[in-house]
Amino acid sequence: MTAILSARGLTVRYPGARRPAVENVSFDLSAGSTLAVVGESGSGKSTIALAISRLLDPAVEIRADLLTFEGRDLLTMDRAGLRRLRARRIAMVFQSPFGSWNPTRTIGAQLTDGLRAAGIWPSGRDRLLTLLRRVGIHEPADRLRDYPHRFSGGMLQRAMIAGALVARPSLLIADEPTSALDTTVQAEILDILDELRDEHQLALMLISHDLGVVARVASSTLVLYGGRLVESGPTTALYRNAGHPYTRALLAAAPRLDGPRKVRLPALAPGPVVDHGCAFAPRCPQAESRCAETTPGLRPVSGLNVACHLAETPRST
Amino acid sequence: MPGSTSIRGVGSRLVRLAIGLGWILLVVWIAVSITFVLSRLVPADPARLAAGLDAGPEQVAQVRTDMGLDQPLPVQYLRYLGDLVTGDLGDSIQTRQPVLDDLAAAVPASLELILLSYLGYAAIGVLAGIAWAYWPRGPHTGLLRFTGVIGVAVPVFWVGLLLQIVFAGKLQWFPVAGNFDYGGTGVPKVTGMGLVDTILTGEPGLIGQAARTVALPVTTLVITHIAVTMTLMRSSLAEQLRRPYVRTARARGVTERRLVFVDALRNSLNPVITMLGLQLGWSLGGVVIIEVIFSWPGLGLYAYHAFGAFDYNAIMAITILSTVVFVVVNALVGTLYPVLDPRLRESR
Amino acid sequence: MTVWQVPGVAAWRLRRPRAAEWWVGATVFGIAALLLVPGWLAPHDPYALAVSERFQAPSVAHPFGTDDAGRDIFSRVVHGARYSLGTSLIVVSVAAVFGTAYGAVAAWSGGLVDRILMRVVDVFLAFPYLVFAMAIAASLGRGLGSTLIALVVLWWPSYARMVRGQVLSLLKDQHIKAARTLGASGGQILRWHVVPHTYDQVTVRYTLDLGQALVALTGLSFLGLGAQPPSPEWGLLIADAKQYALTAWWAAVLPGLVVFLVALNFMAIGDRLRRDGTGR
Repeated sequence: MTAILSARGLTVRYPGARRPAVENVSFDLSAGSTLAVVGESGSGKSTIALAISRLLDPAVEIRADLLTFEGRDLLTMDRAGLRRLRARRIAMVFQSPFGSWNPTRTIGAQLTDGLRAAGIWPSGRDRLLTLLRRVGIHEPADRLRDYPHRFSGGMLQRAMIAGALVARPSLLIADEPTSALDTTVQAEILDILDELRDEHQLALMLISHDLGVVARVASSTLVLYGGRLVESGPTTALYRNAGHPYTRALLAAAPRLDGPRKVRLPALAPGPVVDHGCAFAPRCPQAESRCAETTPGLRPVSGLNVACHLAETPRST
Repeated sequence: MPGSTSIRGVGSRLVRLAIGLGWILLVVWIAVSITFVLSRLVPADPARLAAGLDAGPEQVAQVRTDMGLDQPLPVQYLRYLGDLVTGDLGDSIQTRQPVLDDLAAAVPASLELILLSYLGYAAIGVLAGIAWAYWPRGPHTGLLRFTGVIGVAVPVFWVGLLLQIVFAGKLQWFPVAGNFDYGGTGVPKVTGMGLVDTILTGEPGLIGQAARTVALPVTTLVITHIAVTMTLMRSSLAEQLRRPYVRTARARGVTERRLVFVDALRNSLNPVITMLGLQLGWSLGGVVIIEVIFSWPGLGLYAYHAFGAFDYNAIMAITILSTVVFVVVNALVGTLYPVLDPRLRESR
Repeated sequence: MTVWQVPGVAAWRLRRPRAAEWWVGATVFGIAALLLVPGWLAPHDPYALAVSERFQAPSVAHPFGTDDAGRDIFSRVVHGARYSLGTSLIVVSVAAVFGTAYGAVAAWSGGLVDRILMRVVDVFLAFPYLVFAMAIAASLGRGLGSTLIALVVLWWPSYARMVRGQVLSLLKDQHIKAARTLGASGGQILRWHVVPHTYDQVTVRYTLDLGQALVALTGLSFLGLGAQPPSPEWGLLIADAKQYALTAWWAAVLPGLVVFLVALNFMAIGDRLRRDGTGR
């Protein structure tokens, strides 16, 4: 299966920052599969999403050995080309439903903007209505005339998802699509995303800080810490056999339905900026002296890729 | 379910309209009353001034009775209010004519300055502000910021005098003072505004003359008012462009130009419109200095002379007029907000 | 209590870069000098008539030239600072203090009291200043005093409104509730915990207003409403010079330039303070 989206060594640096927000991240994403990008705030996961569709401020520096979408180089593409991609091939869904819509224009007007940009207006109107119904918005023709403040958060996200898919994109990036919603609504939205991915054979990139969300829909997962990739691989393998102490701590610390949490991550402000060595070393319960000295590279360990010195040796527990 | 066409919706809109009108009347009434109080606090004797300094005691007494100044204060107040309502603003001491007539003659001249300059600084200011927000980086930024800071601090009288000295006095490109010469050119006075009336005649020579006459005063007004509008427009628009919904629109592939003009602009107009409303409301006071410098026979110059001659009725009439204008303009501006923001439209 | 203990000053000092401090310091020094010891700075007596020297263009002896009565304009400007600058300082200071207190009390009281107080503010804001100043001057008599009153009356409402808005949002803060539970009275809380947080915004506004008040005051004097002759107040200087502006331009243009530059200085400082505050 060829990858729709490929990145090698992706590095993003904000102007004036000491360290890159994203450092040397690589991944592949294929049609019909879901890739989850997991990390806490500040880990760089949203930055990756914005970097792919080139929505970052022009002053932000993006470098990579490879960053291609459907075989085309995203780094060298011109602005008009990028805009066309955003209109037709790459779709995005954002985190805060209420902030992401212009409060003074109707939902329909804003969605129509997208269709016009993709060149499918008014031809795509029926498809839009169908999609809106598909995501659970009844009487879509009427609702298109409403303003955002008449909708609930969940409905706004559904509308955003429907709007994103009208132009038949091949990639959908969902940046924390459910974080601002109630848990019940969260599950519904995730299911919709999952089903749509299957129906339309989308490549779905799902960004989240919530492992529960990830487990539900993602086939493979990237774990980010401090802008670096610390672990990646099939989601099920990650859950059973996580190699990196951070991943293990995340898994153990996740709220569970079957009992109290086993572990709490050591409470710290976002970790100190580390210039060399493993980014997680200051917070790692198993850190050794070499962890602070040399940066661990990603190595395959039991079906996963782990960036940890200690993962190479068989663990005692 | 749209709320504006139901009976309840119409009713509440009428109520809000009534409240708005009531508010205007309240403020006007307060202004009028304060003006009355001030006029009665005066140490000098209004009857004496009205009668003239060389009038004898009986004449002064007669004038006092005519003006009702021998009545108790509450009665004077009611009479004053009554006069106002009927439009009797008294007579001007200087011109010996009804103040109302004086005002009517002076209004078009001021209106010409106000309208032309307003058009200038509102349009240019808004456009410059938009351009600045749209192209935030570049060689023009320094100049715009410089203009923004300078423009707010520059005193009106200084700019006016400077322009007058340089362009009228030294270079003689423009007349030093006065408005359009109706008498000398024989142009019929249709609106009382030189530029408009000459345009109506269609003769380029006359139009040019009127334009030159009005150029310096209007330029002064534009220069001194433009900075505020421009800076406000730019900061408001720049702020909107940072909002998440703009990023969403970009992610949909919308062009930058459409983003700015269709999405962000309407959300950024609120404070700008407020400011423009305030500026229009203040404009009556603002033209005074200009009219004094350029001897422009409008309300401002009239007020200046009235003040100089202690001409009560005139002063009070002008106070009331400008307050009313200010309040009404701002009330009208207030009606624009729901047009811009649908969230404000519905009754709760 | 040292100056560093006044709430806000210490924080201010930590944040501002050196250049801004020098600038503000120089401004304060300059104003103090002009207000307190104009005699030292002015080369001539501002009131001395010397008819033989009228209408002299700017020169080394008379940097700003002389006016129609032979008086040295530069000296007049220096001495006039007391009237123009001094009065604006008083106007803005009184307006700021009163307006801040008013706004804080309104926000703290909340409910009906707040709404009534704010309605009063709205009424005051509805008056165009120029005409109102005229009316006050017409009744109370012309002079710097009545203009001062008129300007204060017209200037304080904007502080009230600004501070009230800020205090309202500050009151939702947690540590205010903490101070309350510790038993501090309303007045104490307001004074020591809440209002100091408004100092940043108020200071910016104050600085900007100093410039604007100066321009407004000199404008009113220009029209004859403020200072009266033979006071060397700047607006009055320019008004006098207006009649012969076409021949002796320096008499009107140079004092006007001073007004402009002084106002500009204040506004630039205020603008810089505002940008430092918002970090943009």
